[in-house]
Amino acid sequence: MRSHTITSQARGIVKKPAIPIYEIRLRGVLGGTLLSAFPTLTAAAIDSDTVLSGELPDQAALFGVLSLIESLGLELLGVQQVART
Amino acid sequence: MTTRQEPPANGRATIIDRHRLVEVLNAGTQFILVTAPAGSGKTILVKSWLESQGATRPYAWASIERGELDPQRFWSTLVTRVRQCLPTDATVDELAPAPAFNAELVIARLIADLELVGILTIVIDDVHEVKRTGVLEQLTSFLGRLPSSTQVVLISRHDPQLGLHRRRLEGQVSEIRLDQLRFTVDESKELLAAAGITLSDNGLQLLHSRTEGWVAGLRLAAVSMAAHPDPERFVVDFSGSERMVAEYLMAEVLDSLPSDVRRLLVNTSILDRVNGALGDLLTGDAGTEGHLSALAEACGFVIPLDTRGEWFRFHHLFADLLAAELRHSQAPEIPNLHMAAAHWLSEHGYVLEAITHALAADDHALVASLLVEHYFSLMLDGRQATVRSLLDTAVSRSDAPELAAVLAADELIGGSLDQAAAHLALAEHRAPEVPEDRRRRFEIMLYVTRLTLARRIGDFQSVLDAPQPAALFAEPLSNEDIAMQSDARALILMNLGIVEVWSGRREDGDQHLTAAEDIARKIRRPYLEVSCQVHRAQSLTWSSFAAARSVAEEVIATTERHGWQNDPVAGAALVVLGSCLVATGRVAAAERAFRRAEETLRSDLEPAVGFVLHTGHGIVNLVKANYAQAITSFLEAERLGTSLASKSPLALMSRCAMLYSAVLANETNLVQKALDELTEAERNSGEVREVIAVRSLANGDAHGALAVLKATVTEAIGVHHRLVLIRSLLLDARARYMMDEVLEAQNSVERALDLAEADELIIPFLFLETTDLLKRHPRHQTAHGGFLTLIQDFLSGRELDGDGGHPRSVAVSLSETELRVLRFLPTNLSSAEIASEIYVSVNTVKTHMRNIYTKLGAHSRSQTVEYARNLSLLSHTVHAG
Repeated sequence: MRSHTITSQARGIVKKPAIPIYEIRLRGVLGGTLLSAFPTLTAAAIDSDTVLSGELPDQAALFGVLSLIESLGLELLGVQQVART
Repeated sequence: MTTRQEPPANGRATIIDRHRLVEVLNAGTQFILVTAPAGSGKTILVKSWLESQGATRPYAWASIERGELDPQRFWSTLVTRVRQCLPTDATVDELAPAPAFNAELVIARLIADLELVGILTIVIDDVHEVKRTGVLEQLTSFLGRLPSSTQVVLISRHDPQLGLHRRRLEGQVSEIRLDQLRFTVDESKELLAAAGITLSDNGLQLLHSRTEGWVAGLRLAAVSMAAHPDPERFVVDFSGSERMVAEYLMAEVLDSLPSDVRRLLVNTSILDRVNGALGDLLTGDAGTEGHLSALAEACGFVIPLDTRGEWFRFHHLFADLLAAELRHSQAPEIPNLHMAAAHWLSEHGYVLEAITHALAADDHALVASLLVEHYFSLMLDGRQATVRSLLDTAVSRSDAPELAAVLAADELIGGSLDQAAAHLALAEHRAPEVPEDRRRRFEIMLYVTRLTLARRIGDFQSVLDAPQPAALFAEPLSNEDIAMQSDARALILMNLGIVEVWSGRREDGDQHLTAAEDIARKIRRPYLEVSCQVHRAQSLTWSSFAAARSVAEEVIATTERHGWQNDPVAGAALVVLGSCLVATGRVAAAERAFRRAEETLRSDLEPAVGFVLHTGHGIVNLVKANYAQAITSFLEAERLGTSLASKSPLALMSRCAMLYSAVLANETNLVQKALDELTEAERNSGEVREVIAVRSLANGDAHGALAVLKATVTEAIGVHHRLVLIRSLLLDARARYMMDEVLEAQNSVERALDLAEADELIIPFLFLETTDLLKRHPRHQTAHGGFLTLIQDFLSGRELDGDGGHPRSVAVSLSETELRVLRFLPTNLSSAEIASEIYVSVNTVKTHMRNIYTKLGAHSRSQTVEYARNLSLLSHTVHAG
């Protein structure tokens, strides 16, 4: 990742670093109250679970969300990086 | 947070007897891990287990605060809890706040103390709140060294990384996890029954399967159902919903509450803790206090923090759910709530909480003014880590010039002096931008910082030259000014005093130091108090080494009592003590003190303290005839002395001591060259005349020596300390013996003894070849027979041989400290004297002695010595210094 950015810069290409998009799957259906804790993510209900997705620029942002999930007592089913913008 | 009680009280929340879990807890492993998500009933389980044990198992409970950043606060809480749960607190020393914090030392001491405590359980709750790896490493180190009599229960939302793998393999770790914590159907029934709710078997099954035995869900359901007309219906609706258990139930609970109570819960969810006044303020209603007490009675989610029913906090999960509700329903209101809280908290003296809320409200002016006003107090309270983190956040959002001043002050504590100077320059440059109403405190802060920095880098001249800011002593003063000023004034007076003492204005210096010490005592700042005392002790060395030594020892005892043995202030005290020991000829003991001082001061040696330390080393080497090393030490002392002030008398002192060593080392050219470079004024000092006299004597020129010493011994010209006069008299005596002027020689020796005896100034006799002088001194004519014998004992090397080092004994059953104490038992030192030898308190020595007696099965000191000797525990007996 880092070396890629450096190479791009070395070539003189002005390019924004790609921001990863994550999907985070939680057990159960989250209502508006709990969703308001994740204002930057969008939610979809899938098979009685909730999938939060959106851009999380780095690991610190990702762990911030995971820690919020822990403190709200939500059950985490999975996390994956699905794409980069 | 000053009022938090541990462990959290349970209010009226029902405690269900959970046999199967209690069996795990009772298994007796040294470590118990309770890990499960929020709301699983971890804390309440452990607490009810411990309470059921009664007095048979004392326990200490320490919770890690939300977002804890201060290792100092965590460890001092733990030490306090351990102290509180013991019948007498004498065994475990207390830990008082100080700007710098050494975790390793505190842990080592706590471990040593726990060895003496015996059976004890320590509970560390909310381990997941440890976000700084430093604290995790400290905890790992602590757990790895615990004596087997100490059991530890760790409660956390996720598995803590604390290096317990090996202990797990050894079978020393029991675990309770989510699946075990889930309530069974029967337990759920019991819980509901206690809340006055009875469900049909079918309803109970439904509720249990919907909540999956999650206790927070069951408790929330119980609160809702208590207010619900048809509990069975409630369960059916709940089961039919797909919403998250917690979210569904929280909404039900809030719906079931009267609107003012509901507003109270939601609006105060931004707080870490709430009381009646804050609740009223954030809701616009009256009656918060009553509501909070009622809620605490009714459910386990509102937890009283004190016995007076003043402060409460919400169960963490409950608070987070309420905060989500607040964001959902009234997001635009949130900054206003933070703002109102910030002002109330700042007005009532809860500074750190006020700053946190001011940051959340983006009120940067308030943040800056709170930091300026309270920085010194917070630092003295030992809250530097938390302040640092708040400061970082503030700096990332605002560039108020006041923050530069705070950054400068902050760098002075364990940071970089260069950085401090850079921030200070910026703050000074931008001072005009600070609004008029905040200018005064800003200038006080700048002045304190400037003064401290100048003192620390040894730029004494600029301290003496700097004008005091008019604002500092201006009238009228507001209450806030006075509060800030107590800490600031003490700091200012202390720094001024230190500089004056070192710049030859000892009278002013002593006055300022005493005044600073008085303020520090009044405002209960033991750390400032001892800082002043150290420098007062230093000042005392000019008039009385005995008095200086006693103050230095008092400081060392205080640092030991407060857990500051590794703080630079303890190092500075050891340096003063060392120089007193040197003066009185206790060379080996002085070396021990210097060694310990160096361990403490490694990273923080200010020039003035360094000067004394290197001078001390130089004299020790002089006595041991290590002239080359003595020269190196004195050169280093001179360098530091020169840096303190351009024309420092200290620098000349070191230079002469160096030349003195050079004469003895036969460095003829070096000495001549240096003497040639001296100014006329310097040549008139008593020390330079000594050097010339020593050189003359070495060349066999007794006449020359006498001539040069005349001004010193007859008129005391250029003598700023009586040590100079004593040394000159002894040199004078040597010259006169060479010239066979026996009576005059004896007269000079007698005068030297006269001057030396009161303060036991033995050191000049040790390196001035006085053996012959003393041998020839007529016993029947001297008024100092006893003192003479004492010096001769020192000259025969009795004391010097005492420092043989104390290699670790092979004995396993005694701790290191106990062995140290044990080796003093054959001497006739009292426990107070042993305490002063190893720099611990008398109580500690007594505790160790009791334990040694017990371990060896002895009933008296002599019996202990006898047994210890038989066990070869005394092979490295120390001498009585």
